[in-house]
Amino acid sequence: MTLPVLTASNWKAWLCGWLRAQPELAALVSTRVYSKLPAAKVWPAVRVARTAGGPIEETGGYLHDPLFQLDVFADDEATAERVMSTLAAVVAARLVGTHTVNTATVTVTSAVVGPIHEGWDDTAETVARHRSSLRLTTHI
Amino acid sequence: MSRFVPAANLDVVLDHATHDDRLKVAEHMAIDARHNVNPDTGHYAEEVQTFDDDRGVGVDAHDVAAHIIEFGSINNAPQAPIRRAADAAGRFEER
Repeated sequence: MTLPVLTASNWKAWLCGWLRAQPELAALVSTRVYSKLPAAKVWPAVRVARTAGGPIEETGGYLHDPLFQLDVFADDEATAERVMSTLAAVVAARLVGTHTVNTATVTVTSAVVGPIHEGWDDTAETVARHRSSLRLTTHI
Repeated sequence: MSRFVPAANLDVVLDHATHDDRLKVAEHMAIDARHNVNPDTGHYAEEVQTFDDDRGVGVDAHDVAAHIIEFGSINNAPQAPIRRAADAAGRFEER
């Protein structure tokens, strides 16, 4: 079997696409789930960044444990809270299972959303921002 | 059958027993974190340091933009230098 190589961009693109496909989240943010926020920003929106994790060397690259930072931006705190809570709920309910990441078939065995940090963006204090993390444990 | 009964002050015992090793890990993390940022982050790398105080043993950065470099903003992607260093040193769980 050829070992698929998955980059940070592959993981981000897959997770953004998966989140966009969740109807409860789409009802709140439409398709505004990004790995990089666009120049013309419309809130609420979700940003996905892969901050750490990757192939676990001891397993020859067949186990991956990517760690993501999840940001929700909104015009008010209540909306940010609702979007983040919805995001956490759909991840907990549906992300464990088999997915296609880039061209690889990947099984997510664990998806853990971290604590939610509530506040405002550091550079735009009128924008509510709720931040959390998502740790996946996966195998190819 | 044997049974392990932890001492009432086990946390203190473990804290003392692992202190030097945890400090070494923190020093390696600080080195990694200094390399985990883009070159356009000014003096950030010089401001990454270990601490050993009532918070425990760890790594932080005193740069004025450290929080934005670590966690990003609406205008910047998170670079996560300290979290990446922590994850490289052992599986990192955010609290």
